[in-house]
Amino acid sequence: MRTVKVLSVIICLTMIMSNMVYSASNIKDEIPYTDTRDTVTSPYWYKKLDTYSSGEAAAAGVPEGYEGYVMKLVGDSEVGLTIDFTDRQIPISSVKALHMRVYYNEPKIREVRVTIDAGHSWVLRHEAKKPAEWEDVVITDPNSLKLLANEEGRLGRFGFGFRFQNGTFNSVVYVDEIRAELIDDDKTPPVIYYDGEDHIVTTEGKPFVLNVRAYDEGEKAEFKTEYVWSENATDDDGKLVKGEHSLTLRARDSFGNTSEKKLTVTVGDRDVTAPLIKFSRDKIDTVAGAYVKLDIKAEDDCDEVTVLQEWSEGAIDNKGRITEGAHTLTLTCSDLTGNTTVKTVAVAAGKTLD
Amino acid sequence: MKNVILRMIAAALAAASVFAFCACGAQQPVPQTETGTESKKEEPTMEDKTENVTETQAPVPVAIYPEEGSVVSLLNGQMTEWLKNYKKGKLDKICDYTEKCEPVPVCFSWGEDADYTHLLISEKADMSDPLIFLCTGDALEVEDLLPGTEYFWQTVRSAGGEKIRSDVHSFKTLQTPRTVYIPGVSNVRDLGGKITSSGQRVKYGMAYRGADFAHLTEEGIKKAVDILGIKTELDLRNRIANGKSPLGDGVKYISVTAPYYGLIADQSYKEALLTELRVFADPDNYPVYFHCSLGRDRTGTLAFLLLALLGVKPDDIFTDYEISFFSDMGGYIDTTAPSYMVQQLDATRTLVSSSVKKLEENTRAYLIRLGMTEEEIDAIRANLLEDVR
Repeated sequence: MRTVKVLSVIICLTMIMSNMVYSASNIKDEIPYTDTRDTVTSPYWYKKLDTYSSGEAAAAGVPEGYEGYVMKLVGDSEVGLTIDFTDRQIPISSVKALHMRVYYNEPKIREVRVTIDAGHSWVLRHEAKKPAEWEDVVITDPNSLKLLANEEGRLGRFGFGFRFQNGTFNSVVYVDEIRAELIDDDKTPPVIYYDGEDHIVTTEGKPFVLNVRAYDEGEKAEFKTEYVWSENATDDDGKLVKGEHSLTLRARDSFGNTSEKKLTVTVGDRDVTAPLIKFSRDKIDTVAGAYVKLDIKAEDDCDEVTVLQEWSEGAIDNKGRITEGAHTLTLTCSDLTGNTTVKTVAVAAGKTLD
Repeated sequence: MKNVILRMIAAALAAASVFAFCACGAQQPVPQTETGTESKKEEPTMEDKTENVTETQAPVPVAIYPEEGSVVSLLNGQMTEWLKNYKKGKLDKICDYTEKCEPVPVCFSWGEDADYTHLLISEKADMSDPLIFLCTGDALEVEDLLPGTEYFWQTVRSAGGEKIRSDVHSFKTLQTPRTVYIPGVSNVRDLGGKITSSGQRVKYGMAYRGADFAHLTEEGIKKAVDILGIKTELDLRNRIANGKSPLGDGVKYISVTAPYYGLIADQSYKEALLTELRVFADPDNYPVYFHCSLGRDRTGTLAFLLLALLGVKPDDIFTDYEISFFSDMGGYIDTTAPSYMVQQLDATRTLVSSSVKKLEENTRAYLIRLGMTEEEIDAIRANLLEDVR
């Protein structure tokens, strides 16, 4: 009998302890926050943090409308946490939305905010418009969601908080959950967007770059477009050889859905004409301290080209002014085939202009 | 009869001569003098016209801009018009989330190309101490000129081995607040240029205010550090101490949790307020860039105290404040009416003004009560004020 009583007490205590452990891990199932402050990720912290199970929350005065566990935060001017989804290993491409269910009744709250770099930039600045009711603040924009990815491409760590207006003290907010909503299995291939010609004419030796992108509506994400050439279209260096070729543009999403588009490419004789730099002088006489604002142009028979200006060491100071002495300005202009024109200009910067 | 025929032949020859004379009487090409002025030549004589066989054209007028004697605003038209008819707190919400308070560069155009050209801009009629730009083409946009200044300018064009110096032209820039462009930073302006009650002027290039560096670019760092020469970043947000400035290790970083508007009276902000004001007492800290997130509230409150202490007129202080409503303030979506925010600053003014004395005296007294010393206040004034030439 005594043994039964002792065993009952042990079992009871074990259940209480496991319930406490269960409670501590369950709040983090709903709100995966870190216990320690991460100042690299988040500018936010709190004066006081309390967590309640659903049974405790009513007695604690938490406004109705929550489900499961709920968190109460108290702070001045701004309050929040670092949220970390890393352990859940969720690919960012399968995240449809990030939901943050919050409650505030401060009339002077300004925004709900999300950052990954302690507030130097913002993933979300949600204007707080709904005091005294639970609000589902959601990030659905794919570009914003991508910012929340870690180096492995999975939903990672970010700062989450509330910004109050005009300086307030001991402001109270509640958080019911922060969760990732995932996309359904996607069965639709990405769409290849290409607005160029189906038959392309180019010349040997020129880099081949198309304005093409592939976007998958299901995953709300861009995917790389692969270039698949017909046999013997390129040399050992990957450059196109003269002749007629076919090119297949191919894009594949995370679920293996694939789309293709076929083009034909005619590669002609190599362009051997270098651009012409439109600056006729071999020498410039100027004065030390002059701000250099030379806008030198060039023209080419095939391509749009620009002129690179390189000054000899020490010619230009950190304010963009020429220093006294003899300098060299090297003008270089290359077309897409690699034909290059170089012109050297001697620049003499004296004490005066005359 | 013979005489009549001879007279008729002579008359015909004379008429033909007159006709030939008139046909060759077109204007000769006018040579450019070294100073570039065009000089009128006299009508060619009968002897001249036999040598001048070159066809000529009337010279094309050269497009010179800014026009001689004109007044050019360094702000866009909307801001210029608002300043002209300024009434405190009457600005309607105009921010459409684009930056509208960036300065407008001055476009110089001289209408004549050359191999290369030097553009000279000076504040003196004798063209001494000019800014000099080496450029190509027949026009150039120049940034960072100062408001309320008369400028003189000319070009020296190098063409065919010759240097051709133009006339000196002049224009003025309108006296407005000086807004500043730092790539990636919103709502930036120079506290300088304002005239005080004692007739002095707040120095340009010493104290800059603006929004935070969340979107600062490499070009922005170069502009802030190399061109504006900023030595101290005063961050008024509640950041963590021992932080570093995004402008680089060469820039001192000072961080305080600053008050805004009525919170300057809150004792818990006293030390922060003293710290941020004392930054301006140390000449080694200049130029200073002070900011919060938007560059309006905490920044605006500090700017108010500084400008009031310097003796700047209240209208000019509030103008400086309200320029924030022309900025997108770093992309912040603000639905608060400008008039409401101006009331907040007005309430701050009331807080500081404990007597019927002028704002400058009241502000000085307020800061003394706060804990600043006379020496610190005098140092701030000495660092930021200059006599007007």
